[in-house]
Amino acid sequence: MIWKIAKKEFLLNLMTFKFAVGTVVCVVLTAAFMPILAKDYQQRLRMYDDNVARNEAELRKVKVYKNITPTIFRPPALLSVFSEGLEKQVDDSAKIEFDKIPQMRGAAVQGNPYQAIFPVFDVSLIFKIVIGVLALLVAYDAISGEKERGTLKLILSGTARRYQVLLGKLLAGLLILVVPVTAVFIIGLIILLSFPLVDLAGSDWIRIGLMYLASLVFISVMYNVGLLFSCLTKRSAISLVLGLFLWIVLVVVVPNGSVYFAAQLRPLQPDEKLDGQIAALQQEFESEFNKSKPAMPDVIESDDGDAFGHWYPRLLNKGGMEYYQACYRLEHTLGVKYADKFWEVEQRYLNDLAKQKSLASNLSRISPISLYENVMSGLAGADITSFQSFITSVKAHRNRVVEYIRSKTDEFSATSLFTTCTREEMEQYEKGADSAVEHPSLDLRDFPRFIQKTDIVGDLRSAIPDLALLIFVNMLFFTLSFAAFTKYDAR
Amino acid sequence: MIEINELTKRYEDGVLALDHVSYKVEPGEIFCLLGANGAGKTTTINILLDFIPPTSGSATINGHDCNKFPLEAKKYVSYVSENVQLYGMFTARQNLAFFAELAGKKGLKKKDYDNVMRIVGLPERALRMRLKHYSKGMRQKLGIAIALLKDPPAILMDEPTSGLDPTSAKEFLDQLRRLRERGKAILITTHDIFRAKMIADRVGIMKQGRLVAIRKRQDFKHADLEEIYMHEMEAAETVS
Amino acid sequence: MIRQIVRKEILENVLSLRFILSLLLTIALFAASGFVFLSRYAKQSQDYWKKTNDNLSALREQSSQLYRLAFYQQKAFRKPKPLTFCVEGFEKSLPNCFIFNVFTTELPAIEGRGNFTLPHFSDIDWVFIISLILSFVALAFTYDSICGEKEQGTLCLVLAGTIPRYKVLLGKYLAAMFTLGMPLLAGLLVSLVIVVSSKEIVISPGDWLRILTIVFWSFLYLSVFVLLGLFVSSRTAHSANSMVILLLAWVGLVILLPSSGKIISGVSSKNLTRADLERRLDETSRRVWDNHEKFGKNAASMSTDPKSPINNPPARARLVTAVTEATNQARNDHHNQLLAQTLTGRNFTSLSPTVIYQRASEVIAGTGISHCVNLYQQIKPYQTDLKEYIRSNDAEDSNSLHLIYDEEGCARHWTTISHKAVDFDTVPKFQERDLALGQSLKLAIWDIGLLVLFNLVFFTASFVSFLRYDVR
Repeated sequence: MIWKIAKKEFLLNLMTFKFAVGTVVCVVLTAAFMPILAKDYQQRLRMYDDNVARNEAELRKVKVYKNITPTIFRPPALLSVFSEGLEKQVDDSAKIEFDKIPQMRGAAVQGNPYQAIFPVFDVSLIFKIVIGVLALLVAYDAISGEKERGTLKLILSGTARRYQVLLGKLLAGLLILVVPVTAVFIIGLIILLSFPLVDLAGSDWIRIGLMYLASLVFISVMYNVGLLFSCLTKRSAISLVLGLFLWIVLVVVVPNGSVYFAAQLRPLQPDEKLDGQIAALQQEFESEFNKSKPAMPDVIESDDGDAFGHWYPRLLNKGGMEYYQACYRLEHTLGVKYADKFWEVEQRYLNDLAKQKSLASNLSRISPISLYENVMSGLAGADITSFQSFITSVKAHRNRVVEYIRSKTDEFSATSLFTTCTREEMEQYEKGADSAVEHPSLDLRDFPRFIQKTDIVGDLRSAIPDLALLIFVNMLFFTLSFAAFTKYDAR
Repeated sequence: MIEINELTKRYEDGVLALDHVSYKVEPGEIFCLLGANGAGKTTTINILLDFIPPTSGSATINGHDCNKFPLEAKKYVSYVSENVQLYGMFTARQNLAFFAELAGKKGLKKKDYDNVMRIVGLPERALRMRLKHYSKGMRQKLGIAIALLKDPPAILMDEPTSGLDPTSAKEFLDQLRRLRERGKAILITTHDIFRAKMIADRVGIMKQGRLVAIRKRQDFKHADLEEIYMHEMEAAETVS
Repeated sequence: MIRQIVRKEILENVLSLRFILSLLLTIALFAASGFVFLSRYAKQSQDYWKKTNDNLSALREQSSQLYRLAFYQQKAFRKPKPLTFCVEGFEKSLPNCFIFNVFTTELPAIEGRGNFTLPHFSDIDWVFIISLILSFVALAFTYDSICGEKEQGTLCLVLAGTIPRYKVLLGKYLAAMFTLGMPLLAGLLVSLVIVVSSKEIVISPGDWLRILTIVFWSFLYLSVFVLLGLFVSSRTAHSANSMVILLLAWVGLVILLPSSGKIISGVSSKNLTRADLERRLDETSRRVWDNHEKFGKNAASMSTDPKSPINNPPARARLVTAVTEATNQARNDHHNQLLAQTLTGRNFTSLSPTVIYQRASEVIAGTGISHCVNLYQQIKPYQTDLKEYIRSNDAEDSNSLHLIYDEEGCARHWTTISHKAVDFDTVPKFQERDLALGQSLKLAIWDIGLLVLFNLVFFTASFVSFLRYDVR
């Protein structure tokens, strides 16, 4: 019985104008925008490869240990074409320095700050907006439309029970909406795969599969909302108006409002406080440094450029050599020690940010659209947990680098830390000769290498709770529709 | 008053809806246009109201061509359509006021509305009711009231008795008689032969776009109009 | 007769559910926008004045020695404008701090930390409510203007009368604008009352003029959507179909097209990261530095002892000036490319009336990206003024070498610029100037023309459509 109703409903909807137009629009939008999104990803991937290669080249050129400040890059997440998340908002690189522990930063520092005038754009926008509206348009007259046409009386005058009618409608609605969702995914994937450089691993397919599932669950939530309104009103026009207004509130007002309220309810510490703490630490560092620093003798030096944009003294006189040796050892030892302290101060600030963000997330969970957004960006590997795990692994890498330099320079006391000048060269230079001996770059064959880890389990774990919530919302709305329909006046 | 002269209409898909139809409706006359669905009755009204242009021939109201000078022609005619919901959120009075103003009637007072409601047989309190609470019969009567307020010399009615219960239909026919007495030219399209017999001065029978017969009242007063109708339809069959 | 149609339409609209919902939603949002603005503005203003004054007092300290005036990194901040409650223009995410000394200007920076992990949502300003919500409401009111009346059967009745079709259309248009105007004006009033009664901000007469201009401009924008609704409504026979088309059109024009600007501008970009800039600056300066012989002997060497024979100040001055010019050029190019990337992206999407509306509103109110650009452009003339001031004061000092170039160490050790003190009151100080309203309007003239064009196109379309509409 349910299947009979569903079949009739499905065929009916298939032939409607709204379904045809809606599906065509989805297909056209995907076909139009996916190439642009894919090209953008390709560009970012190329930039990533270039950056990594350039970094490697610089490492091969470096001459003194103090100048080893490579930058670690995070590869762009391929699936961010489906859901951009924070991909372009958070910095995807971190510099390794002896006196600073890498932290998450905003991307505006690195990229084009003027781009902030554009809102986010990805494929999930097509789902949230276009297919969401389509779901409402299919559902708004599911019950009230039948009443208006007079066919509800006919159906219920037969042997069909009310719950069967409703389930049949739900089934049909979902099957109908599966069509545009699937079309978008298939076309999107075909276009994406047609680009060179795009390579989907096994774990990527699992993610895509879950994204597909999540999209279906989200669409069914929108359908159920429309169905609920349809069961509450006698006239389809009212159901449509209510559904659309609610949709506007959920799409526009709730996400914006939650960000605003989170900022009000959990404001951040004023910048001056953080700046003050950092300045105080800086003072502490400098005073400790100046306390133990030797007096500056007459220094004569000839500088040269090195890798990573640094300089180093190529030739020094004796006074300079001794002075710099003491200074650099002190600077590095203290620097490593203070790096932890600076990190703690920044970390407290970042924790505040995280708390504010989680409040905003929780507030916005009222809207199923935010839930869906969370699931998609989690599965795409473009949400905050992905960036957090990147920074954590960079941090571990930095520790290894620092240890490496420490061991190679005998606890920062060797001259190879800051100069290539040998004893003979120094004596020659003191006599006035400017020897231009070319020293080879450092032998970094045993230098620790950064290993990129993709953590699918972590991403899944961050996405599952919101997905479960979405399924729950589904059941909630359907139960409400059911209750409303049992009392619905079919005359 | 209402003059149809060799009126022909062929639609874009080739269907011939009207085929050189000619007749007149004089003041003080009720002319019923009978015919099956698709015979061309509604097309005639659509041409009179300039909703579609004729292919050839002319339709005039009070001497003004409906297609060349539609706004002039429409000054002299009122339209009562079939199954109209009017403006549901408005009261009867607001609906009446709106259409009266459109017709150029200014300064109508409450007693004018009461009067017209009484004429069509609607209770006075129905004036304050919103249209969405009206029954079909009440809406039909209000449609006539709207036409009455304009008080034009010619009235067009499209299937006015469809769906009316016998009492309402009888009241409606009384209305028509009163209008006839005031000298209005009334053109009604219907397939309600029963009521057409009771009220029409002349009856025009249309089949597939052609006017196959016109009968005066004397012809069918004592005969069975239905039989005549069926006969004419078959005759038309053999002729074509 | 148009008046009757207008009156009836307005009455019909006001009695409908969609009107009540729109009214409530609009007023709530406008009220929220007023409160959100107030909660931010006071603090922003305070911060701005404190930072600017800090800058000035630090500059005062520098005036104890003329050369320090040249090298001190001044900070110019973007003044928070009161009109940000009308058009915020994404200002909270745009650069607000411009660091410069007499010789070079850094790239615009963002001073102050925000929460970069939060999604980038625009603040709820008037333009946001009007461009998003009210355009939707406009469509909600007109989607069944024609086809709904046909379905009801009343269109026949109306057209059976003597009113010509164009008057019916005009009446519906005017009525829709009136109906929209009611929640809009109510909301604007609520928002203005909230903002003005707080006594925290001062709105000058010039600002009131701008506000009025924005109100008219908003009506022009909403008129586009009203006409679009009328047009689609007169193309179909079923209001359900009309609703589908209009909804999808709204989604496309108002949400998808503006968003796509990010992707479009991103695709056309080349290397525009700060790391690339640093690299380019490095290359440029190294290139000049490697050819240091052509500027004179010993140009690349320096000793802190001014009497040392290896010093050749004029040569070094030429070398460093060449480096400064080259790097300034590179930085300027980079900045222009950044701007071009964003503005091109925006231009591509200006097929959408929403983008046109946003852009011109920003220009009229003097906020947003045009505000940043305007401020940036005012720095160069100031630098010239300050440099001239330093030069003329320096010329009076016989101890100085009169070499004004960008190397502080040399200036300190070799006295290339005078070390004497100057009177701070005579020092030129940077002050941000607003564009006059006339000038703003001139900048927005293309956008205004575009929206007028949209209006004309949709009006003609609905006119022609309705004249041929089948009312049966």
